[in-house]
Amino acid sequence: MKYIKDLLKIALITLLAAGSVVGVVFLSSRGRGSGEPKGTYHSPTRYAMDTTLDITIQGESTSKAEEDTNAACALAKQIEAKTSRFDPDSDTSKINAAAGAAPVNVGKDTLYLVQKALEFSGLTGGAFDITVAPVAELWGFYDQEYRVASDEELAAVLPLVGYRDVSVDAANGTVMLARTGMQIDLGGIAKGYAVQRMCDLLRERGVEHALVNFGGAVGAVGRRSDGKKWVIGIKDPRRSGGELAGELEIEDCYVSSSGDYERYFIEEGKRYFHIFDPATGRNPAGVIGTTVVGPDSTVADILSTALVVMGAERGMNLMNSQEGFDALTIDGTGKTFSTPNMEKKYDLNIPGDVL
Amino acid sequence: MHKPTRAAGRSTWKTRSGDVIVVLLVLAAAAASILLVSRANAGEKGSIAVVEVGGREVRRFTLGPGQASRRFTVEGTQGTSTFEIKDGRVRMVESACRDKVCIGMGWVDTAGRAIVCLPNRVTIRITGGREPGVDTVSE
Repeated sequence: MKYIKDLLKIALITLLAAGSVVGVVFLSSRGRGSGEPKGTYHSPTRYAMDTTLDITIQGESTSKAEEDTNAACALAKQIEAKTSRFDPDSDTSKINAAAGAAPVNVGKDTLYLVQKALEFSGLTGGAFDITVAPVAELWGFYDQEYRVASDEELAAVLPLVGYRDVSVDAANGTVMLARTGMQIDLGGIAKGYAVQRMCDLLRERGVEHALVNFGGAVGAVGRRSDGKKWVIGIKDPRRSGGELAGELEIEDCYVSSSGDYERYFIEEGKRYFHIFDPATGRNPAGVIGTTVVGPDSTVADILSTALVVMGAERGMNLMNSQEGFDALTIDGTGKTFSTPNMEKKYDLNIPGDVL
Repeated sequence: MHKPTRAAGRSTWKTRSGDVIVVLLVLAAAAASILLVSRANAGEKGSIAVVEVGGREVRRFTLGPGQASRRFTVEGTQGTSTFEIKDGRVRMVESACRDKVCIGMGWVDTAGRAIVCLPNRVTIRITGGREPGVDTVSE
């Protein structure tokens, strides 16, 4: 009798132990860290607005995920067709062509973007300005014939820059530039806006777990299908592709980064990049990389560009007034500044020295 | 007087020693299985590099440690892109594009990261694998 009792005891222990072994094996095979959940769909890379568009969808069948991706891409193309300064039929091209002459009827997307841009031109003291286009053109950033602009050339072009000379008639849906030669460029914010619209569309289509990356403007729909937050890498402005400056954990929000590493040329050892201080027509100095997180993708995109122009101190002051938005800036010496929530809410992790 | 007590003590001790042996065996088995599983994982540090031209997948490679250097070429919209796979990493080494931004991106090896040659419409994206990576990168 006692023998049987002992045997039962041993059998029970063995069973429990075997169970724990199976558990160990099962858990390890399910992956750790951010290994991606089963059933993750990666769209093939699409091209729009002169950059790449990648969409990740989880928790859907492949065919549904493909349909969702196609719908989102079609929306991005539609926004591009309305806003691109390189498309002669776009609202932007029409506005630029009619500068100093007549108001132009524009679509809802363009109207919204111009209004948002003007609002933030005011808030940033002109650091963010869509009328800086003639300066970017002078430096060769539109035809990729890069050149260093002279003082005389800049003096000739700067009078064409000024957001106060953009007038919007919301009731009639028109935009007009006051003077001939003025130009706007919505390229800096259309990507962020498109990410917002694509994420909203995916939500409408019932998608619960998705990640949209449109040339670095990132939008998250929900969390990952395994319940974890999405992990977003922040590119190190100076190190090569594999190296990250940090990582953020997000759900249902938007991330946008800007910096002197996106589009640039180097002449006589000096780096010239695509973001200009509208006051001088030259590159701002100091901040070389920014990342903004928040509940609106268009605003995050605007702020990430504005922070490069404003610098760390002024930029962080601006961020204090932007409820719900947080930011990280990296300057040329690798020094980082961030709003308190970057660490508290998004678990910002900067593994080592930046740069 | 002492005998029955000793006998009882011995009997209890016997049972416990059996338990202890079983528990030790089980712990050893668990440790061994963890070791085996982690070794299997290390073997497939194994992310996959997906190469696309114009959004169409043209090649796919498993990345793993200890791989000898191999070079591959794909035809992009402007010309040839040559990339190198070595020791679980991949990089662009030659490209027909003008600015060579893709080459400047250097080595990439973990999930969520990618090499993009915008002008030549060539992308190499790292996906899958158990290596803790990021879901995407904001540049």
